This record gives sequence, structure tokens and C-alpha cells, in this order.
Amino acid sequence: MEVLADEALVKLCLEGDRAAFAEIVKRYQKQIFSLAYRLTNQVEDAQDLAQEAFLKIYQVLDKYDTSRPFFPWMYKVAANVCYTALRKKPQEEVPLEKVIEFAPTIPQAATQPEDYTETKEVQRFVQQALAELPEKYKVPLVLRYLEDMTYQQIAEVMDLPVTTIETRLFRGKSLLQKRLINLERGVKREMSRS
Amino acid sequence: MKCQEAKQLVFTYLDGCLDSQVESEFLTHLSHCTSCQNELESARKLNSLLAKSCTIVQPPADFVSQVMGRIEEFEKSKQTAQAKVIPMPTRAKPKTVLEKLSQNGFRFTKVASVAALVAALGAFVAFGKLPEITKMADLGGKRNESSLTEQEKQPATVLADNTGQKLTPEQTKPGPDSEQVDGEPVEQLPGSNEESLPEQTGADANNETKPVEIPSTSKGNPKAEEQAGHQEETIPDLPRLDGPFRQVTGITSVVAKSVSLTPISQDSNYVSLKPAWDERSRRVYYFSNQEASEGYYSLWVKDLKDSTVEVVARNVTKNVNADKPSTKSPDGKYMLYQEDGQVFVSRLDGSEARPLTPKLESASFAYAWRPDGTSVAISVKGTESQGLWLADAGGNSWSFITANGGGTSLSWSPDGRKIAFTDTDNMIYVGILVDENKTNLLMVVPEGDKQGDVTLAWSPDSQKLLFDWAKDGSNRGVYLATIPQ
Repeated sequence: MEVLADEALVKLCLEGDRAAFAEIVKRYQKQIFSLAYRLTNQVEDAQDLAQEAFLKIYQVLDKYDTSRPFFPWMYKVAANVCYTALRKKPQEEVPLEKVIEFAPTIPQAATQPEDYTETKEVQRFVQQALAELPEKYKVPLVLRYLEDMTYQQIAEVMDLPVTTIETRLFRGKSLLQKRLINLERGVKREMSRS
Repeated sequence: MKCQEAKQLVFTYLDGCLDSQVESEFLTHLSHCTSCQNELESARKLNSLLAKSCTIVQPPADFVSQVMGRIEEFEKSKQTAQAKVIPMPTRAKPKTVLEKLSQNGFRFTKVASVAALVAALGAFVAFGKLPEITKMADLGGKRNESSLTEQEKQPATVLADNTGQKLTPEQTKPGPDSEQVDGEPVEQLPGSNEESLPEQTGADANNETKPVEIPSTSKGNPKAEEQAGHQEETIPDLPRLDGPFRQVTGITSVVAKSVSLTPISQDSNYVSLKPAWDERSRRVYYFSNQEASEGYYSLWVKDLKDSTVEVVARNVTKNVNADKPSTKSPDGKYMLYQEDGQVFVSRLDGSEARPLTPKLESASFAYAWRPDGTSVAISVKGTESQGLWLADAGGNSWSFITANGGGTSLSWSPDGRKIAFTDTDNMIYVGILVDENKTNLLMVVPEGDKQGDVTLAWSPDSQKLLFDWAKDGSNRGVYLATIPQ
């Protein structure tokens, strides 16, 4: 298939050309899969969620206003699917503070403590901690860092006031920070033992 | 600017989103506050860490074909749905991914104790009438809480589509009730107009209970409402009415709302059934063949507040059957009975008998008094009048509620405004009586249970319904449905 603009592909899709939709999936699979993966930190869950997102995009394709850019619209639909699915997950009744205090996976302190934030393990820890945040915090955080969205763009995707997004980013980051401090303490304890 | 305020602005400052005046105040504060400078430094670190951790990842190699496979399935099911012109819900619902994920329910560990006798007696009170107790040995005890995993402690939420109908995308926005997950309103992302997770594929990766969602429609969505309007049932042609039946009223709007289901006890290795509330609605009693000898059931209780599970008494019965609704009127003066294809009401001594239904030759009936004794819900099976009806207890009217009846399980909510019932396939529904002409119908489960009568037990506040149900024809489990208002 020749390289067509997204909008042209959408038009073909709406005329019944499924190959055109396959092209859209191919084009944006990385972004949508990454969104789902960063929100769940589980490959299989992410695959399912990303598939759901594309299926939804396919189902509501006729709602897309071709006079506007396709990607933001599509991403919004996908984020909505993810947000909804996460929101419907059972909510733990354990107080959030307790969850955050609990740091189950302390990385090996192979490097100097001051370098710990640079290790792959710490990154994995952050990814896990991010995925464990309540969805109202993690969705804006993932949109902010995965897609480098501005507060305004996140607000548009989530249909919330910018000030709410600002608050949620702050709260989400504070929770993450708290966990990282615990992590750092844990690493130091490990170091002092060895 | 004070420290607390400045600390709250640290991330916004780093993201370059402070307006110039606030930024100037922030920087002024920062210049003489070491604590906030440290705060800024650790915020920078966190930002850097987030930027490094939150990166693009490669999807699996066959991801595009997986998606296209899903789309093919969707198109096929759409065609099938279009081919069938059946006004009422389709029974078979494709499994959702989250359904698959939710297959693994609670697994109870065996921890013995002897402290449950009192609870057992309490449970018997709660059950009112227990099945034949054949053996009551081997008392069990409270489950060791520390052996519960977080997954076990945490109930899963199942959302069932109430109409069971194939929904168009614009219908799939959930109703207002579905937007409450944990008691507080949850914002909904706009844009896609909906938030359904239609049929999905995928594996149970974590062996844990996860939510199931089946597309739902919204009362708040004009298109969904329009659709609901199309789904209004019409009153079927009735056989000639021989009794003093002066009215035939009642129109059911199939108003789609999400019913939130929480598995109370669901395990592929065990059967759990016949749930009942304790007096304060805090605990749920049920029978299970877990920790029971071959052919027996043990009595269990689950605390809804802390999710602890106890075996109350082991091997208490061999037979657990759903109770039938009482035929005696709430005031104890009248009774219901059926004779020659008709349901009658009479005084307990048989006097003053009057028919509540017309003569329906080959019909079988199930019936239940409304708690205020003014009317009787009657489920009719086997004639063209098959469905759920509401008969005035005085025999003056006979109102059609819905053709989705015909099952043998019926249960009124204590406030008399809702009725839970089954159809001939043992699908579970709840009818909410809005007024004498309108009943909203909710489909509580996405598929029927072929294993016979189900138990339907309302909470005293009429908000929640306990029931047993075999999902996918597997072992019966006990579920809790939260009924939207």
C-alpha cells in the first residue's frame, strides 16, 4: 500500500477496506501498546488492552472528524478505553498510604547507593510503582512522560480541568516519590548489612 | 509564598507550567529556602527517572494480526446479530478478556478451629430453613487471615450488560450507575463516547480475580435511550381472559444499565451455592463442597467488610436446593395455589378463592407475594403468555411485565420495588417497578445457568442481590449484584 495520510486511510476503512485499518494499526501499534503497557506493566494485559483500544477505534471510526488530526483523536479513544478498563478493576481497600509504604521489590544494591536511581532495576521498580498507582494518577503521568503531553493536552484527553491534571500529577508524583524514598532506605539498609 | 505552597508547585515549575507571577514568587521563595531547594532537586530526579522509565515499547510481532483477528470476529458477530431479528437479549455473550481473567476465584485454605458453633446457629437463623441436615460433625474455624493473598481479599467486579444485545459503538457508554466503582463518582474520559470492552481474547496471566466487563448502554446517552425505546416490548396477544381481569397494563423498558457483580465465592474446583445474608448484611452465608466430604456440603460465611472466609460447619447437608417463595401472604391470611392452568388466591382454609390469572392450559407457574401483600408476581412458562406478570392480589388486574420470564426463581426486594426472577434459560433479571405502567429491566448475568433453580436473596436495604450462578456452565459460584437505582 502506498503511503497514505491517516485521514485517507480512515476514509478507505469507512468504505470497508480492512487493509487500510491494518495499516493504521501497524502505524500506531507502538504508541497504543506502550500506553497500555506502561499503565499495566504486564505484557499480556497490555496486549489485551491495546487490542481493545484498536477495536474501539475501529468501532467508532465513523465519529472521527476528518477535518482534525487523526492521531490525537485516536489516542484519546485509546486512553479512554485504558482508563475505563483500569477504573473497573477492583479497588483494594488497603489505604493508599499503606500501599505506598510497602516496597516489595528492593533492587539489588550492586552499585553505589547514590547511583541507584540510574539502574535498570530501579527503572523497573518505578514502572511497577507507576502501574500500581490509582488510575486517576497514573493515566496523566503516563500521558505526560510517554507522549510528552502538556497539561492542556492531558486535560483534553481526560476531559478534566487543567488544574485537576496539575493536582493529579503532583499527587501521583508525591506518591511515587514516597515509595522511592522507602526504596532508597531499603537499599541503604541492604548496603549496610553487606 | 510559604514552603507548603512552594512544594506543591515544584513539579509544575519543572514542567514550565507556572504563570510568570507565580513563578517569580516561587523563585524568590526558593532562593532563601534550603528545604524547597532540596525538594526541587528530588523532583528533578524523579522527573528524570520517570522520563527514563516511561518509554515506548515494542508490541509483539504478531500484534497487528491479533488486532485484525479481533476485528474480523467483531464484524462476524455484527453480521450474525443483524441476521437475527430477535427483539430480546441474545443469550450467548462472547467472553471478554477480563471475564477470562476473572475465572480464578477465591481459594480457601483449610485452617481448622472449633469456634464456629455459635456462628453456625446464627447461620441457621439467617437461612430460616436449612436443607436437611444429615451430618454435623467436624466443625471448622476461622480462616487464617494471614494466608489470604491480596487478590483473595479483594473482590472483583463484574459488569454485565443488561440487555445482552449487540451494541453499536455509540450505545456503549455506561450508565450513571456504572460510573461508581468504589462509592465515589469517577470521572469518565470523553471522546470515544463510550467505554466498553467488547469481546476479547487473552490469557489469564496472573491467575487472579479481575473484573469482567461486557458492553453496557447508558440511560444518559440519548442514542442509547433511543435504542432502549426501540426495545420496548409490546404486549403479546393474550388468550381470552375468563376471570375478572379488567386491565392488561405494563410496559417494560429494557433500560440498559450496568449491574456490578462481585464474586463472593467462585472457584473452578468447588461449588458454592444458596447464599443468604446475615441480619446486618455484613456477612454472607453459603454452602460449598469445599472442605466437605464426598457428596456433602459445608456451610461457609464470608465477611464482606474484611473479606475473611470461615467454614462454619462441615458436612452439614447432602442436598442444597433453592427455596421456593412462600405461598402464604405476608399477613398470613391468604395463600396462593395453582389448579387447572390458573393461579388462585384464597384464605388459608380454601374459602374465598379467586383466580389471579386467566386459564392458561399448558402453563406452569411460579409466584411470589409482593412484600406489602397487594400483588403477586407470577412467572408463566409454556404458553404464548410466557413471561413475568404482576397480578393484583384482589384478582382485578393481570399486568404483563416482560416476556423474559418463565423461570422458577422469583424474589421481591424487601421494599417491594424490585423483583429478581429468571427466564426459562435461567438467565437472571431484575425488574424495577417504576410505576404501574413502567418497569425497567436489568439483565444481571450475561448468560443462563443450566443447573436448575437459582437462589435470589435481597439485602434488607433492597440495594443488593445475592445469587448463585454457574458462569460458562462451570461450577456454581455465589455472586453479589449491586442494583442501580
